[in-house]
Amino acid sequence: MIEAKGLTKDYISGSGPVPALREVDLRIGPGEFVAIMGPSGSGKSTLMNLLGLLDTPSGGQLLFEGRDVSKLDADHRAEIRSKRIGFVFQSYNLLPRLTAYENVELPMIYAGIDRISREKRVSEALSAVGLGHRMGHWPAQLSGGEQQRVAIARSMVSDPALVLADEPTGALDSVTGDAIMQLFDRLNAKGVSIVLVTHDRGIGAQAGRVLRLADGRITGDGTLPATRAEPREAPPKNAGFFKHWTWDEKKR
Amino acid sequence: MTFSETFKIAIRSLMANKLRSALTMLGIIIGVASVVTMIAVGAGASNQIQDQIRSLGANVLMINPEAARRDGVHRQGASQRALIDADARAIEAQLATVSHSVSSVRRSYQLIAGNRNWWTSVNGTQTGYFAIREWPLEAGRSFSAQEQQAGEKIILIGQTVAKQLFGSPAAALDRTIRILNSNFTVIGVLAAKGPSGFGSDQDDVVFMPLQTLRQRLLGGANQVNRDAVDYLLAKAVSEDAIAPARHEITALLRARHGLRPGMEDDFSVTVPAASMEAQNASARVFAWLLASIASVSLVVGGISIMNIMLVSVSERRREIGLRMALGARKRHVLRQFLIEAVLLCLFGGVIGLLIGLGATVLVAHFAQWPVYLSPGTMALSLLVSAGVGVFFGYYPARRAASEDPIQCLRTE
Ligand SMILES: Nc1ncnc2c1ncn2[C@@H]1O[C@H](COP(=O)(O)OP(=O)(O)OP(=O)(O)O)[C@@H](O)[C@H]1O
Ligand SMILES: [Mg+2]
Repeated sequence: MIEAKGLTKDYISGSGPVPALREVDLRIGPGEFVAIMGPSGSGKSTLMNLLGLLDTPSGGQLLFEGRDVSKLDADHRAEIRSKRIGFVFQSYNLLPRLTAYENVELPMIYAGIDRISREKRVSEALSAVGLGHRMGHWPAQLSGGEQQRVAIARSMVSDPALVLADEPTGALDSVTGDAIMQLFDRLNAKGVSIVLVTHDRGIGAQAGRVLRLADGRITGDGTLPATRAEPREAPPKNAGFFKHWTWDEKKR
Repeated sequence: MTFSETFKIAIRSLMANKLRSALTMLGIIIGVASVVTMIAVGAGASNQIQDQIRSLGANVLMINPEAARRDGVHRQGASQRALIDADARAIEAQLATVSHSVSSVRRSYQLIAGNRNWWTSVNGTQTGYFAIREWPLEAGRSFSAQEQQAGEKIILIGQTVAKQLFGSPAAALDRTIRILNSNFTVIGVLAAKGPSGFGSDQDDVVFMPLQTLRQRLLGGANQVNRDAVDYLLAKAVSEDAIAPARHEITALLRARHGLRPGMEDDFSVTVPAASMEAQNASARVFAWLLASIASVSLVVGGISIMNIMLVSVSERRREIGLRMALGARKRHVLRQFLIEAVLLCLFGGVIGLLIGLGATVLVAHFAQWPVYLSPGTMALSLLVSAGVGVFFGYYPARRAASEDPIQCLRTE
């Protein structure tokens, strides 16, 4: 689905180029759930930006769904992003002057999807994250966890092949973080590839595959043993918003 | 990206900073308001002059007596002959370039009809006057040659006088108007000439044969020269004949007044339309000059729009980065900021236009100045506002569109 060959990224700064990624070879298949871990400054976000076509590599090759995207211009990359890639960031995910509904709708507007289908898909996606009843709310009226759920609804709304999440639970407490992870799991179960960056071993352990990054290089590729007592399938008892979930397998 | 969505977002971000948006618009508001007012004032003056030209009648020449004075001192050997009715007769009879010529004496009197009275200007003239001024009758008839000769007590009245004295033009015919101690019969009512701008109502006038005015009203007691008239009017046969007619009239009158070569004219022949046209041209130039001075504030307004949009772009880098991550192309971002700038200007333009309209009304009311604001001018002022938005909003919008999403997302 996405393949990197000798991917290199140097940032140009005043004191010369800063190597952030060095010759990374990587292949992520459809439906994979990958966690990227590593110390701060190891190049995790840099890799995510390249995988998400937000940036272009300084060297090497990147294939997205079989197509070489390493040298595409900004507008072409934006077009692919709007249709095939979903993003969830650590914070400031939502545009403050758009309602939850409008935030979720945005990538589809950029992708040129008509209003009728947009309407249907937005309400499906928001219902899927348990926020079908808060569509008209402003981001400021939502809690941090709810905002992340809106962001997840937005990342999945245009049926992407890949969802990238850079520390999506970094700003949340562990219970809320678990609920967010549940959502990624469900998304992944639908065949969407998920790549997320985390510093949390517990979260890393939930991924099918963990990439370790250090100093711009991949130093490990495998799995982490689950360290959590509770299995992922059982939602925490005190997570009240779970009762709103209406994930409908047949619909999507 | 649909227009309505972009529009909605633009409105919201402008509303989010109401005070800032209002202050930013101020320059545009002041600019549009002053340009609109200046144009209205200029166009009003120009329209008034054109109205006067039109109501004057085509190809009209006016001959005024001019005591040959220079620097307020009587010149030696200068002729003192007044214009007389016979001059008009001679011009009409002898000059091929002139179709009509009349003489006129004008005074002001109080007119009384029943229990109503009205002050107006009373003109003694000949029936040719109406041909020269292309002024038809609405009802009744004009004076006959015989009535003119005999000085019959008849009167032709303008629309305003008819309304003031008799309520309506229709009711005026055959009624009697008393001026001083004489009673005059209304034989005709002139068609409306309409207002010639503010202050001068052309229909507030009455006419009678020159003989009648002399005999019944002037009496002759306090007249220095019984035959003198106030002015002559002549109508050239065509527009091309105006210049030759002027020459011929001058030559004829000099001969009739016995002026030797080298002596100054004791009269002046003017073409009122020509001087009005010149006046009109300078009024226009002046109006455009004022408008262009006023438009400087539009430029200042545009610069403040540009400034605020640049601030807005750097404040909203996170938003720009996020939108780009979600698939916004350069043109989407460009359009969003451009529409914001244009809306700001357009909204300022609308407010400015309203203020300009208000100012125009005030100028008309208090300064008694003729004003005219065409729908085209109003539409143009809004178009110009939007244009200012495009011009000054383009650079900031361009800057937003060329932002790097990564850098934007890194700003917190
Ligand atoms: N725009 C940039 N300009 C210059 N250097 C950069 C830029 N972005 C990242 N870097 C450098 O590249 C290296 C990798 O940064 P990156 O953000 O990918 O790290 P990270 O693994 O995501 O760290 P963290 O866990 O703190 O988010 C760092 O040394 C960082 O300072
Ligand atoms: Mg990072």
